[in-house]
Amino acid sequence: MQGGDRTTFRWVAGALAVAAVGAAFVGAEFDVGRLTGAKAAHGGGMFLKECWPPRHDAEFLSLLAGATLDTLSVAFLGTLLAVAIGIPLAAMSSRNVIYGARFAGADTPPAGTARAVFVASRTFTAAFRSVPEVVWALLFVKAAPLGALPAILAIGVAYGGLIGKVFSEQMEDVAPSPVAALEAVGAGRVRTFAWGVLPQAFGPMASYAAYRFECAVRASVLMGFVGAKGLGFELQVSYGDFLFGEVFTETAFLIVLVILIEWASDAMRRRIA
Amino acid sequence: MIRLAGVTRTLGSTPALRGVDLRVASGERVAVVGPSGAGKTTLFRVINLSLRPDGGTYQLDDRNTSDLRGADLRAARTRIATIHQQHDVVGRMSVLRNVLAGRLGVWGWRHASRTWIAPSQADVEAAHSVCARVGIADKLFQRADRLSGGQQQRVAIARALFQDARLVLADEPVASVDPMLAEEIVALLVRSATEDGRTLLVNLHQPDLVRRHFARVVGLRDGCVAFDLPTERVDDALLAAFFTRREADDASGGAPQPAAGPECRPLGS
Repeated sequence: MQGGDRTTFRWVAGALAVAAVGAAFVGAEFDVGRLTGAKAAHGGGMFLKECWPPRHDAEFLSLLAGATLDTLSVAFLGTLLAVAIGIPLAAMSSRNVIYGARFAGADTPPAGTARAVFVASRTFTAAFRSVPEVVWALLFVKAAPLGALPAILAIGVAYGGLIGKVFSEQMEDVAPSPVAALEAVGAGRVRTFAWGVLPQAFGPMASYAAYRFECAVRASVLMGFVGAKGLGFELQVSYGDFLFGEVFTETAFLIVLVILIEWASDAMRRRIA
Repeated sequence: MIRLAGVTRTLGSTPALRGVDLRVASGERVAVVGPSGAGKTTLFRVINLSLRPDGGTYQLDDRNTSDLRGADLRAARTRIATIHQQHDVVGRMSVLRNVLAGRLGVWGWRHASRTWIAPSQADVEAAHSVCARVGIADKLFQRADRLSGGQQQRVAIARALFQDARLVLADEPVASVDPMLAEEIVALLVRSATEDGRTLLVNLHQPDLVRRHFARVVGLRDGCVAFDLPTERVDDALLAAFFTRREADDASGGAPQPAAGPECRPLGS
């Protein structure tokens, strides 16, 4: 491309980007006036006034502590399931695992079955993550309306797709020569993966799984709105009853919880690295 | 043990091997020399069954390798140990696990799985004894990436010894270590191969190391075997010519061009 062409291209691309942002505001019916007008100020003021004092009696706090544990266990089991789904999906979606370490200069063209596994796995991974976890939850609630199970399954499947995608990128990023060295001693795909790819990708994988756990805590709160027990459910009940003093405490619990997880995962990352 | 006849191999659009004939008998120790780009690494990758020749035949233990696939190919690979320049140990794993990985192709799935979880006492002891032979016994439980370059090279040698293959290939094993250490590592390779009666092929850049440790030298140039002689019949000038970088090519700035035609000419001798 010539210099002049490139300048024109940048101007056109820039104009299109600005237009797209504008269109998005219009499409979302975003209106700054509604946030700043007198009515909004009044409503917001009312809401804040209702929030104070936050409810903090022992009975309520112990209820929320139990709900926090529910939320945590849904998030934990969901993440565990997601990792269990994500690792095999990622392995089968990684060229260096499926086709061999030197796939870039592949000596033999990928065999038919290997290619089929690769395409199928990438398709499943994409399908799992293209549906948001709340939508999965709505589907699973219809199938198995039993307490926490739909929420766990929903997080497991939706995050399984996300984790599968990210893990496979991390697996494809590992140094190829140690993996090729294992192939050269006669190790098959599974062993090459377990001894060469997995150990090298472990750090970034653990780090991403910890981040997903944090996301799962927030997601499992959202699941409360479709019936799973936990902080989200309490939040929804309080909100429905206009008990904003309770809403305030529940939100505070959530914020503290996420900050604690952030600390814990950061400590873990530093230990592993 | 190894018999290559007219082996050709193109990498991308570059003819890396253009008709290599080479026979190595069981128990022989051979140095392979040649300027950069001569095809030494490609030759080693063909011999260790990582690359298939485009043409010609490669027989390993009197068996043609061209039709090896899947489990047969992996079984054949277990009989060849390869040591690379560097960076082929898994840095995040302990020395122990890197060494144990040498026998991954040999073990059944049960043995491999239990070793992945927790290696047996017998395997740990066996790994410890090969580490002792290469002088890193005290590093057994350290992470490989915490070791120096020379120590990592010893881990790779220990893995090759633990693999217990009859054919050992070392592709520039001392290219990135200082001269003292280079002497030590080559001596170590040769000594362990001699003790165990293994066949050893080493690709080297140091004439003095070749003279001291090898009885046979194969010179490779432009993807062809240029000479294949007992070391005492190779004079210093010839050897030196094969170690100098090709200044003419470097000066012209172009990629090394094959001097001869597409096929290797038969050797004069």
